[in-house]
Amino acid sequence: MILRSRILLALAAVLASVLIQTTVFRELRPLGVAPDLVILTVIAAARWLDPQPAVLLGFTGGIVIDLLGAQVLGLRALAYTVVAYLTVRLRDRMEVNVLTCGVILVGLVAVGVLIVGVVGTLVQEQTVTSTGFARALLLVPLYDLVLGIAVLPLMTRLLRLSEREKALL
Amino acid sequence: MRELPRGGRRTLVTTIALVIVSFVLMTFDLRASGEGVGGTLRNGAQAMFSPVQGLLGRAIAPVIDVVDGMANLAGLREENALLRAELQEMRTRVARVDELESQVALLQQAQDLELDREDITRVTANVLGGSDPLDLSFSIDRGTADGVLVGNPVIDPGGNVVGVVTDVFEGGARVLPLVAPTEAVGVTVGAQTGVVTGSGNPNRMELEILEATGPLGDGDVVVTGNTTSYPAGLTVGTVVSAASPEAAYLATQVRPLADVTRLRVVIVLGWPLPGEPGVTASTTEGGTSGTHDTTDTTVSGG
Repeated sequence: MILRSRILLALAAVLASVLIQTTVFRELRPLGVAPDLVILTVIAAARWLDPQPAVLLGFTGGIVIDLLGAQVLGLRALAYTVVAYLTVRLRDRMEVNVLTCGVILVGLVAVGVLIVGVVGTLVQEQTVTSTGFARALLLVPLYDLVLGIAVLPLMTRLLRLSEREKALL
Repeated sequence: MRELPRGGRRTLVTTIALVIVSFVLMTFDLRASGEGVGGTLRNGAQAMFSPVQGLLGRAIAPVIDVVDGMANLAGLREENALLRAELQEMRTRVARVDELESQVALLQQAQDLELDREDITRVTANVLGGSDPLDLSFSIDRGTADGVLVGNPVIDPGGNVVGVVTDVFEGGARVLPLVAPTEAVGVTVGAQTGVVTGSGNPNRMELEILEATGPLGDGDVVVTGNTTSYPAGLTVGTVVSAASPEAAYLATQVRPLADVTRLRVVIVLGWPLPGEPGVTASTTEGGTSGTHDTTDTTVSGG
């Protein structure tokens, strides 16, 4: 029951981030690039969920963004799934200190952007060859790092099990 | 990387399975060219999210204006904290009023816009939302119920080219702007004809002229040429930097006149006109959809 409610909370957070991504960050594009709040939320949730729900959450977030966008269906789902998996593998190291956490976060977001760019190019979306891609690869992780200052603690507060809950499990 | 804490192999298998599912989805979506099951799912998702996006978009519009305003007031903030607070409150009110006024002005501008061809039908639509950092496309609140078809050109209230409708459902549609890296259009600059290609940067596009006859200057206006995609003579942008041809080849950059990141209202043009070459229409489960064929025809803009 506790685990299920945490998965639902994480799903609600991802859907909320999709709404914010598709409205607020459509207009707020500093230097022509918007942050990727959905991938940040997926990473923040995957730190605290069990591995399988974490990966499935990444896929779900990606597929919803795919359905609301004009890019090929499955592109974001692929990227977010891989990023969620990598987050699960690296999440222990994110607990070492704030600096390591920030570096890993930047790396994970960059991997997500890179997958979208490379696979997008393979399926003729031509993102890597566009002049905006290099800027996105640089700025999206930095923007997400700044947003992470608020999002990571918030998701930790939402999803981390208390000692009492751990005892119940 | 250390071993997964629990069910490591199972998680890896799940991940690989989801990656394969993603590739399968991509393959089907590409083969179906956005139609089929993928198209139906897209229409459903967009129909589900559009109302919430619309509400949220309207709610945050004044906040975004205030954020912009606050950035401009940085100097004054440092000078006087009290004055800043007062000014912020006033700006919040003004931003709200400005928002309403600009919305009315945009709708009025859209209503008053005169095109070279008066027989082209127009549908004025509100812009709802975009999707992600690498995707400049956005949703609008008019769809098949209002006569919007796939392939219809979209312009801003000033008559500048924005892009084309790529997906349409009953209550809304999706617009892919010309600045997207996959988009291109035939254009004319003065007496020369060329192609403008999107770069993914909302503020820049690439212009290429293969048979250039003379130099281009700063601010030269780029308009649509004779294509099936757009009526001829619509303004696309202005040349950013002067350029001269080399062996009859000329390449430079163009600043789009329509700012796709700030659009609130757009106009969907009923183009090509029914019965003209270059358009076909069909009825699907979700409503009527239309597509252009790829045959290029000459269309008079005047």
